[in-house]
Parts: sequence; C-alpha cells; structure tokens
Amino acid sequence: MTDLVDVNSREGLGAESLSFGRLALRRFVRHRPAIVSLFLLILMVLAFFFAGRLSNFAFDAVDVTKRLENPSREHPFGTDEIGRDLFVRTMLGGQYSVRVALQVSLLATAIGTILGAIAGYFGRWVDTAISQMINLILIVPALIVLAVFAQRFGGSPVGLALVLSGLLWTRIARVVRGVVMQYKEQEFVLAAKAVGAKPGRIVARHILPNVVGSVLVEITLLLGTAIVLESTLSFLGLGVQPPIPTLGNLIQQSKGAIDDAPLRVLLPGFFVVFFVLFINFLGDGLRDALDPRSKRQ
Amino acid sequence: MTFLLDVKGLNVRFRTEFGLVHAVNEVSFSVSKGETLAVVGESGSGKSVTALALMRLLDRTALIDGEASFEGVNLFTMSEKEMQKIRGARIGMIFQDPMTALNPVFTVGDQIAEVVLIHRDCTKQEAKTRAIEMMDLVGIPDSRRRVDQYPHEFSGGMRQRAMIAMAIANSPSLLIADEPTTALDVTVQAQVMEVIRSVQESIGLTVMLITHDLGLVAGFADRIQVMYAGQLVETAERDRIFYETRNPYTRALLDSIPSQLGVPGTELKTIGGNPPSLLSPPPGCLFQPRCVHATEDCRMTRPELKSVGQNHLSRCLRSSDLGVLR
Amino acid sequence: MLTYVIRRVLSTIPLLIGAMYLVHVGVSATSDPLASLRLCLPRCQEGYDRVVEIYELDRSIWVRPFAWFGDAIRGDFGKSEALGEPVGNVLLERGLNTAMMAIPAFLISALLAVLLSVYSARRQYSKTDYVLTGFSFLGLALPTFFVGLVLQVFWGVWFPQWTGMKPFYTGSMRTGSVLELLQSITLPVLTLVIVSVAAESRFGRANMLEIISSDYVRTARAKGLSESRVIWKHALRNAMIPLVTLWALDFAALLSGSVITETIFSWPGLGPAFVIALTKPDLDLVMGITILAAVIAIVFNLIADLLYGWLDPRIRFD
Repeated sequence: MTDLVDVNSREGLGAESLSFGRLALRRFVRHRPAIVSLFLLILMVLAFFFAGRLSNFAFDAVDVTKRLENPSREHPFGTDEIGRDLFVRTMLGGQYSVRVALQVSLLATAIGTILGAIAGYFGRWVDTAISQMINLILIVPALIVLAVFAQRFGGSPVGLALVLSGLLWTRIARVVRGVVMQYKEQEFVLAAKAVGAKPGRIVARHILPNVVGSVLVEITLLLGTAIVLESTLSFLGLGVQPPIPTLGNLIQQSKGAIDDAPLRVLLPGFFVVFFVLFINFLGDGLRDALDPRSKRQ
Repeated sequence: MTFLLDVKGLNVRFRTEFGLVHAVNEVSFSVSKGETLAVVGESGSGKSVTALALMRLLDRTALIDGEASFEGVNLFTMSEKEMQKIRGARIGMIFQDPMTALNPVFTVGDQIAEVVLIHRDCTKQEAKTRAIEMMDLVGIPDSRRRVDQYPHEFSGGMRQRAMIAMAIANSPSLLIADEPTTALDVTVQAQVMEVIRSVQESIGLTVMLITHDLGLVAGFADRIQVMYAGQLVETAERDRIFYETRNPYTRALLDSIPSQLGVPGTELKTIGGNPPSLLSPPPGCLFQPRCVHATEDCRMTRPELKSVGQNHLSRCLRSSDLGVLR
Repeated sequence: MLTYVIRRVLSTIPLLIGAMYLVHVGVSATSDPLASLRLCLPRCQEGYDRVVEIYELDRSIWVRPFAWFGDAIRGDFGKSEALGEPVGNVLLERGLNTAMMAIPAFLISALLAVLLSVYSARRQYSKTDYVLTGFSFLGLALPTFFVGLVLQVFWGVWFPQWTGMKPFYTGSMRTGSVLELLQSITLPVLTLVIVSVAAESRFGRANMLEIISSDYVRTARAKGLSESRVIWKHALRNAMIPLVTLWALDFAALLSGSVITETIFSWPGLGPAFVIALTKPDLDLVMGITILAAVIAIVFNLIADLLYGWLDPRIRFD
C-alpha cells in the first residue's frame, strides 16, 4: 500500500503546483460541512445583531398585561414573566454571548501566543515560570476562579470576557510553546541568529508563521468553548447579570417555569448548541485545510 | 514438476477516491519447493502488494482476482477461517520495518509463543519452550532471558530475527520476506540474510524474497523476477538475469547498483523519470517513456511476456533485435 | 516505583499550596462578610466583632491564609457558615453522594466509549459509523446544562409517567429504597454519560483507527490470529494507553462534584455545595472543596501515570 501512495502523491504534485495558501483554500472549500457551517454561522451572527431591530419592542420593555405569552405574530418567541419580548431578548442575548466569545478567543490567543512563544524561545527559568503558571491555572478548579472573579467583574460582559481569557490561554500557550521549541533549533533560525537578528524578530518572522495554522484552528475552537462557558456560568447565576441578557441567563430566568413552557427554556440553548456545532465543523475543516498531515476522522 | 505455489493471472486493484488503481496486472508465476524466488522492483512496482494479496492481508479497498494454488488449495477462494489456519502455520511472513512490526506492549517471547499456541494443540509452557528454541535458531543470544523482554529492549537486527523466529515457529513451507533488510543498517543486513539462509537450510523452507535491492539478491536467490508498474517484465534464473539480461528495465536497474569496487570518478547511474500513473496507464509499453531503446512502436503497442530462452521470459517488443543487453 | 510516587506527590505540594493561597486571597478580596452587619452598627457590635475575629478581618488578606493552613494541617477545615456544619462533615457526606453518581457514570461511559470506538473503527465508513460519528459530534457541542434540561423536559414535562424517573428534586427521598435511589440517579447519570461518552468515543475511535492500520496489527493478522483476537488483544491494549489519561481526568472531575448536573437535578453532592459556597461566599467551604478537588486531581493524575506505565512497557519509573 505504501508503494502505491508514493506513486499517487508524486503524480498529484507533478500535475500542478499551487502555493500553500491556495491549496489550503481549495481544501477548505471542498470540505462541505465546514462551508455550510460557515454560511450558517454568519447567518446566525447577522440575526443576533440585526434581527432584533425588526421587532417593535425594546429588550427591556415591560408589559405586565402580556406575561408568559405563547409565540405569536407579534412575539415570535413569546414573552417572559414580566411581559418582555423574548425574540428581541434572545437575539440580544445571542449578540452578547457572541461578543464575549469573540473577545475571549482573541484575547486568550494573544496572551497564549505571546507567553507560549516566550517560554518556548527562551527556555530555562522563563519556561519553568510560565509552565508552572499554566499548571497552577489547571490545578485550581476553573469554576472557582470564574466565580471569585465573576463576583467582582463578571457582572459585565467585558469583565467576564477578561476572566475567561485569563483561564483559556493555557492551551494555545502550550501549542505555541511546543512549535517554537521545535523550530528554534532548525537551520534557518540558527542562520538568522548567526547574522545577529534580535529574538523578537526571529520569533515573529521565522517561527510564528509556522504556528498560524494551528493557532487559527484553536481560535475557532475557543469560540465554541467560550460560548459554552459563558452560558454555563450565566446559567448558574455566576456570569453576566441581568438586565443584560445572554443566552445563559435567559435560560436561567425561565428555568423556574420549565413545566409550563419547556420550549422557552430550551430555545436559547438550541442557539448555543448550533453555534458550537457549526464552530466545530468549521474548526475541523480548517484543520484539514491547514494541516494536510492530520488525517480526517 | 509440481509447484509449492502457483499463481495465475493475479490482478489487484484498489478503489480510491480518484478511481481504480491497477496495482498488479496479470501476474503469473510459480515457486518450486525449496527454491528462493526474489521479486525485484522499485517502490510502486506492485511487489509488496503481490505478497500481501497472497496472504490476503490487504484492506477492503483492494479487489483481488486470479488464482493462487498453494499446497493444492486456492488461497483466494477459501474462507477467512481457513485462511487463518494457513497464515502463520503454512506461510510465514516477515515485514520491512522490525521497529514497528512487533507489538510494543507484549514481550517478544509472548508474541512468538502466541503463534505456536493458536496453531498447535499445546500448553503455554510448551509454546514458550518452542519460542526459546526458535530464538536460539535465529541466533538471538541469551534467549532464556530475552524471551521475557519487550521489543523496545531489542535492537533492529534482533527484532528482525525475532520476526523470523515468529514466522517460522510452526515450520511453514513458505516464507514471504517483504523487504526484510531495507530498514536495517548495512552490516546487520548481511547477518539477517544469513539467518534466513541458515533457517532455510535447516528446515527446508521455500523463500519468496521481495526487495528493491538487486545487490542483496545476487548471492541469495535461485530465480529472479523483475516487476515494473504492476507487471512482470522479466523472469529467469539468477545468473541469466545478471549476465544475459534481455529487458531494458532490468538492465537499467542493474546499472543503478552502486559498484562494489567503487571506482573513483565513475558516476552513479539512475533511471530518469517516474513510473507511470497506475490510475490510467498509458497505451504501449509502460517503461517506454524512461527507456533508452524506445521506438515509435513502443508507444503504441503493449508488449507481451515472451520466452527469450530457457525458463527466461521478458516483456519487450525489441527483445529479439536488442539481444543480450550489457 | 515507590520513590517515583513519593517524588511526584512531593513535587505537587508547592503547587497545591500556591493554588490554595491564591484561592484564599481571591475569595477574601472579592467578598465582604461584614456587609450586612455594618449596616446595623453599633447595635450589633458584638456580632460584628465575632465575625472580625473568626475571619481575622483585622489582619491583611495576604497573611490570612496562613491561619487556614495551620488549621488544615491539624485536620481542621473550619466550619461552613452557610450550611452550619463543620467543613469536614460536609465534604464527607456530600462527597459520598457525589460518588454515588460519579462511579456509575464513569463506568458506563468508559465501557460505552470502548465498545463504540472499537465498533466504529472496525466498520469505518459504514452507515452505523457515520451515525455514531455524527452523534459524537453533536454530543461534543452539547453544554452539560442543556443535556440536563432536555432530559428534564422529556421525562418531567412530556412523558412524566414513564418509568417513574425523578426529573427534578432527586435529592429528596422519601423511602430511601434502592429502587427510589435508582429512579433518582438515572437522569443525572445519563446526563453525565452523554456528555463524556461523546468526547471519549471520538478520541477512542481516532486512536483505534490509527492502531488498526499499524504494522504490528498486520503482523498479528499474518500470524493467523482471528480478527477478534487481533482487535481485543493486540489493538485494544495499545488503544487504551492514551485513553487512560483522559479517563483519569474525567473521573477526577466527576468525583469532585459535577456542579452543573448536580445543581440542575438538585442532588445534594459537592457541586451544589460549591455553588452555595461561592455565592455566599463561604470561605472555609470554598477552601475545603477546592483542596478536595485538587487532591483528587493530583491522585488521579498519578494513577493515570502509573496505569500508563503498566500498560506501556516502554515507560519506566525511576
């Protein structure tokens, strides 16, 4: 079998040689679940940001004469205990959840990449210090840190995003650290050192481009992790506090009436599930496209 | 004369996402009892696939047809259950990379004893004793102690000896050795080949040796069969292949052996170009694009395997007018 | 090997102390046990002084953790203000409740993960494989609380008459019979199983696929072993090696209290106690649950490493 594969790959390469970027793009476009997911994801985010404007109601407009109404033309998702329109609230909740997730994935990636690169490049005590910091974060149950800090900053979406980023950078840091350690001894890096390039420049120009692929995949998957964590925390009452709605605290607020209106409880949850599902497909597609060595599963 | 193994019209095709790949095409050959047949070719020539097809070890993407009669039964029509009784008992096989071919989590002794245990009616203790005997036979020193060691405690050469011990533990009549020395150091290669030869003598084994290394074959094979792009291109007794070469591909292969004498200043010869795609083979001779003797006719007409001497077959349109190639 | 274990345990102690210190400081800094008492001063001066004394509020928050460490070494983990009981008792009682759910959930999901990954890997690209892979993909996207809620809606609202399973207040038992216990823990356990099986079986399948196409599995086939012996003996032993680590982490997480599942189903385990402790906040209880969780995590990591070494002879401890 190995003999055979040789022949094929050689044939494939001979036929046309494309740049890595073009090849990756082409592999990504061929990954149908990823493309469909990307499309649906964009649609979902657009809905979160703009669909609420189609409604005549404000997210915090109370109307006690219309409490706990079932879905209707006027209120597509019904109303809550004090008569607020749940469609507008769910869309806005989605918007806050997505914002938090985006902030978390960007910030955590930035922290993780920088600390990981520093640890990997300088090694020795710097590496030990950063690695111990990672271990420390892993040993403390995440919920404690979240709850303790959520108590102080978590009431606001930005605060929660900061706290979550403070926890979620460790994975990327480890990935980046590994890659940097692997590349720093290679000839082209040694050559750059030999001509006197500064460490910052070596890392940024010669080493980090090699991690772009895996970091991109991690950013995507972090979006999913962040939105699950956000909704879970808010569900427990430890995350973003009302009156700002998020997908998590919407569920928490309607949970008391679960036997009256079960769908009202589940609906925001469906948005979380589909968001994460699409994100995971997207991450899979990116991984296949950017890292051809990894086998499809 | 009756043959131990007689293969007729073997075809192996793989279903891939790009279409059917013709890995082995209409290959027929036979092996007589006690002889050593070497199958030689570059990677992709279909030599390993041929061996794995005979053992029925290819995965489900492989389509096999043809006939392979071994000790009077057809390997391709028997049930999987019956085939399991042949593997490891009547046909032993060793593989290219001894570093990965042994299971890392079981002791070497357990792995040798296992093949005895499942094919014979014996106790665990008897199987282990047999394993130690086999380790002695293939020259693993200190076998009583090493029988309880794990593969990672063995060197590459010792692992390949353990593989041989495993393959011959049930005294099979045929041993298929698929590139047994490719992954080993040059000095160890000779030792491993010596082990195979001595085992062959002591238990009367028939050997089918698959390799890309004609130099290795020179001192070892009785008969040589050269494959190219899934086809048999030349087959004859060893000396005829070396001294009365009739096929241009065989010639090119012989010329690319680095000279043992190492005359300074001589250039290492290589075969230019690549083998053809097995997905959609071009018409005409498959070696023609790389062949120094190719004519216009070679591009259009696919040559047949023709007799060019005593037990000597060659696949070349110009066999008769080129004569012996030097 | 014993020296290895001792060295490993000793090396985690500084980390553990650091973590506990940070948690103590963090909780102290973000909470104010005097908030309500301050409003009624000077009337409740006595209670105010008592709380100041208990929590050593007159001292800097950076030195307060040392008193806790001193007590903890003597086995005194303080008293939970929220639950009105010594922390040690709370941990024991609730820890047992948690274990009652964690152990069956772990065993079932581990077994299922092995079966599913072997099945999927052997029948790669079959319809069943696609369906199973699709489910595990969906499972990975499900937040735990959502699974719990769906099960509650299913059994509690839509089909409440089915099998008498308790969907909501699983902790309040009337008779305490085995049947009632089973009815109580089934849905929470199912929740935990669904969430962990998805990840474990996906990981297991990927592993199994890689191993099934490895050289030594081909060797095993070439020896004439039956397919079941090839899979269950030669392939599975190797496939278990990386799974063991995942299992240890999962089991440790389950044993330290599945906060979300237990909270949703109102199961009186460590999870809800933790939420109570955090929302109050009840400093001693937070510290007690944290140290228990940390010790469980350390112990199971160690067990995983030892199992790893036992399964894979290439690893040696020295």
